[in-house]
Amino acid sequence: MLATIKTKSKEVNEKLVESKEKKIEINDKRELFRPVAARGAVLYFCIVEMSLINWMYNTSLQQFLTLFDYGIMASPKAQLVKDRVNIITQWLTRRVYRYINRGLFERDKITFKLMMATKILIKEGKLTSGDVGLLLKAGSGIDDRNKPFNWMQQKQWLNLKALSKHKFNNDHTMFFKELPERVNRNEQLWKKWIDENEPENTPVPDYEEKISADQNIGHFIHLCLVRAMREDRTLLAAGQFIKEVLGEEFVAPVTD
Amino acid sequence: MKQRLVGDVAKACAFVSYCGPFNSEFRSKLLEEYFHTDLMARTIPVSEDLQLTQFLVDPATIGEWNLEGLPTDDLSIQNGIMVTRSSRYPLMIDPQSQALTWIKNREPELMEQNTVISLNVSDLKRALQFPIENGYPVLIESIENEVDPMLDPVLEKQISRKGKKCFIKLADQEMDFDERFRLYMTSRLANPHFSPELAAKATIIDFTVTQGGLEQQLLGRLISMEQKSLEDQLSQLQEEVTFNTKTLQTYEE
Repeated sequence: MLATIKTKSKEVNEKLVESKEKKIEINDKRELFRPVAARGAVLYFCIVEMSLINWMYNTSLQQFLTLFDYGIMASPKAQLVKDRVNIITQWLTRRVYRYINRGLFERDKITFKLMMATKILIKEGKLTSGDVGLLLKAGSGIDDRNKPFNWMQQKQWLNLKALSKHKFNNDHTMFFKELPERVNRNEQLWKKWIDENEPENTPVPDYEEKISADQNIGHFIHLCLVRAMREDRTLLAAGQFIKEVLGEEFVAPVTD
Repeated sequence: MKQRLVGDVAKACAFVSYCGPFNSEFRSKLLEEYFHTDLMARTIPVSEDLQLTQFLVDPATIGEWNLEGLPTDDLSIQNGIMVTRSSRYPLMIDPQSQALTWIKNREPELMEQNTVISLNVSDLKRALQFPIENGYPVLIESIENEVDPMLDPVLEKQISRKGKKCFIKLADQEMDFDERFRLYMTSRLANPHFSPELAAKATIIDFTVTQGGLEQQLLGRLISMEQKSLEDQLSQLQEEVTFNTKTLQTYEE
């Protein structure tokens, strides 16, 4: 009796080891699809957070899952898994955007898009929630009465200070560390940029090269700068940012 | 191992009793910063890296839960432990209906006996009497901030024993109490305000879906559509592993 159990137990143990190996293999294959799942989760949480703006924007998980399934089924097939993953991710993002966008008030549409763009970047590890906090709050958290430039408003100066102290994406160097100094040195140039009709489309003095050199979040840094110095142009700059992160069609007017 | 068992058990008990209402972030904070440092301060021996889920439940059971439809992420497994291990009845915060799906799969008798009820049924007492006397599970759906005080004796398990039989007094009526009776409660509210009394009477468990958990689920869903064979293989494998581990355990005994 004991002997049979022993052999059997050995057999079962072997089977377990075998299935462990197989499991690793299957898991590797599964992991290839991870980016789609990650994007899906990010999108769902964007939708959920919209309901904080207006109670009417509540969307159930079931509703989202239907959307998710549809995005997979309707998107074109591809031979390589990698291509297929890219296609689904794009399709899914577009589907969800169009679906949700339809139900939003005009004034909330840009919020949703901006949230999608920043959350996707956060998920990709390019931004941190602290960076988004800077974009939203700018200099409202600090106090400094010694504004050196007469032509600048107090608020702009505080924003500028906040910007100069911020470490984007937990980078150990502060991107705009020398900003106050540079503005001081090139006062005329900066004043001209700030008073520009469309500062978001005009090259930034001193920093233009450094901003466009940053492949990952150059567009976000630019958006933060415009928001800090010209709050009235923020929405337009946000549109540009969304276009660069998500694509042309996310800023094009939608009629359905 | 044996020396540290005291601390480990204390930690596990604290976890099951107190961590339910919180999200995963707060749960690990409580466990690591609060319970652990407290145990250390009292010089109670405890393992440095206690894997609570593994400590409280074996992988075979987790596999079973997953087959019943409980999501595979860590938070859901912790929730599964609390639902099954807590001595009080579970009250699940479940805005996405995931706990509901799991419980319904787990307790097929719920559908067979038609004991899924809501608090505003016309005759709550009658609805409860049959399952209590015959030992069937009951699921009360969509609890809002309050619970009918009529349920209190059940929640507090005010059971009196006379000889072999157990009795419970429900709204002035004495009825038999079958030990197999189980009560589940779910709430669809994302952030309900339960009264402190209710929190003391039931185990409140937060089933709200998390980003990591959702990612895991979506991956499963995606692959079942994209490469059906892969997901089938995996669940088949899971089933095999569950089965094999169980047989191994019986052999060892």
